[in-house]
Amino acid sequence: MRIAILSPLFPPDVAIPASYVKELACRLAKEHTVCVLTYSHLPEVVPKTQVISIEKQNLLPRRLFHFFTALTLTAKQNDMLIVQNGISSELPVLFHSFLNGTPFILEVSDPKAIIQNNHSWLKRTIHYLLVRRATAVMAHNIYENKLTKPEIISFEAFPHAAMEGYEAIWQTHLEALNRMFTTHA
Amino acid sequence: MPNTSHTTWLEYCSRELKLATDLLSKRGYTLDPEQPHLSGERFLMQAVTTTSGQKLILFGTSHEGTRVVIKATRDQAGAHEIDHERKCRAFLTKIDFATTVFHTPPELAYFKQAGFTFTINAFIAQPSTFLERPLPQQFHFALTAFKAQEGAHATTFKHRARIRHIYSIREAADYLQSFTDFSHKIQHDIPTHRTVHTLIDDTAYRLSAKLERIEQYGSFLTHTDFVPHNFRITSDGTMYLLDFSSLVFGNKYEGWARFLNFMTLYHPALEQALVAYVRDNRTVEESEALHLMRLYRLGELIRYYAGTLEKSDGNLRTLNEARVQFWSDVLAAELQHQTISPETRTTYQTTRDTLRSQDEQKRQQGLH
Repeated sequence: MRIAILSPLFPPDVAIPASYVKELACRLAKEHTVCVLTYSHLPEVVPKTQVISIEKQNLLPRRLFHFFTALTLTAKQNDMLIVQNGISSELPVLFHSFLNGTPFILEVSDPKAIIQNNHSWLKRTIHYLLVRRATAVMAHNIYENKLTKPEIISFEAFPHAAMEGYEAIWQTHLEALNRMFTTHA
Repeated sequence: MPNTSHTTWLEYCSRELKLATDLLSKRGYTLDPEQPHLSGERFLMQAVTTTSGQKLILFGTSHEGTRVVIKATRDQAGAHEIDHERKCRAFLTKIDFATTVFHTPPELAYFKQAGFTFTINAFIAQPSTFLERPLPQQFHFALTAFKAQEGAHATTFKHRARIRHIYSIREAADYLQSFTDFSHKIQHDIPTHRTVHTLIDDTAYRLSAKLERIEQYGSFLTHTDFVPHNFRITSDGTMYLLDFSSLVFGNKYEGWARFLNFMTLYHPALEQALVAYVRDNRTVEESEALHLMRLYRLGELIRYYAGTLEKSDGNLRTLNEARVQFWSDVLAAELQHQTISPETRTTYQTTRDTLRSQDEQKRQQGLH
């Protein structure tokens, strides 16, 4: 399957959702053809994955327009979109959803973006409408669900148990996503 | 030949200290009889790439008995540095795109009087120096501090607009330009050190070939002088950052590089643990960025010590020549992705301890 991941954040951004998206792309690319559309100046490389970056240092309207334009092309080339929550991806996807029927899964995984949305009725409304238009919604808290890789400290014992738990959680997560792809693609 | 820089500094301190003492005493501050930051090699210290003017850093006590650190200057550049530092510090506590709260020593007073600019901050007591702590604690505190700095990432147009009038922003081209300046200065100050010139040329070539990697990890808040004497850790484990004029937005590994190069000399086990952390937990590109910034900061160190040669004589000059050689050895090793031998380190440390003046030895006590 051809999958595009749309995310407001991507490494070298240091926020946890950024590293989650990179890891997700890396793991999905083992079974699918994956591309990432994100905002970045010089994004990190992901093996077997095309990363399309929209220059972050542009003014907001210009960034959003470029993202929307890139989304229009990307959606045509992919069977499924995975949208990470956050206003800078949600707004272009919402507009786009009225023009193109590519199914999309909205991952509501970044609680900080939800909190930011709650400060603005416009952002709340955009999020609400996007939830309504999404093919499926996957809700999980990226800060709590242990999808972040355990740290290795050279003078401490290797965290075998934590690594096994991390791999198992990713396995479950990918199975859930793959079920969604099968159901909704 | 008499050392004029040292004499000038001592005259400056004596003159300014007398005036500052009078002004401070009228406001209820008593200065300590011994002021370690006026003695030893302090006269040589001049930041290479950040704003820096002449100023006095003094310890004292307020009329309420609070221990204080006082910065005082009549020098225009020094006053500018103090004002710049206050701006950086004030903004640090309200960066809306930072993920961590930074702790800063409370400012008790700021005033201008009789041509002087004074800033008075509470002295932060710490139960032990950083280097006296066990390795796991050192590692934890350093890593937490680096992560806190990395949490402030000015990525968007709006972020950059917010910071550009307060902090210096260093991009890849700025690093390369600075390094070119270091190279010219080194060639001027130590024209006969052909081996050092070759090392510096090799480093400049590597930096210029990897500009995109430096740029990739740019726009992060980084403390360019992040070494143990610029932070203090209280008994409850709170880390207080000092010297806010050294905060810039640049490559996220610039602060790491300064710290790791420092630890190459003072605590190689900690240096290796942090290098391993980046290797094992971050991307290959990030390890490369760290390597490049270490090269850059080593070039800066060599440039600094090469520049001190003309201001020093006797044992101090011999020591500064040994420093140029030692940091060149470290640079040569880093260029090969290697570390210096323990013998190189201990030989240098022995030389340094033999040649340091008594005043400087006293100034170094409990500093790190």
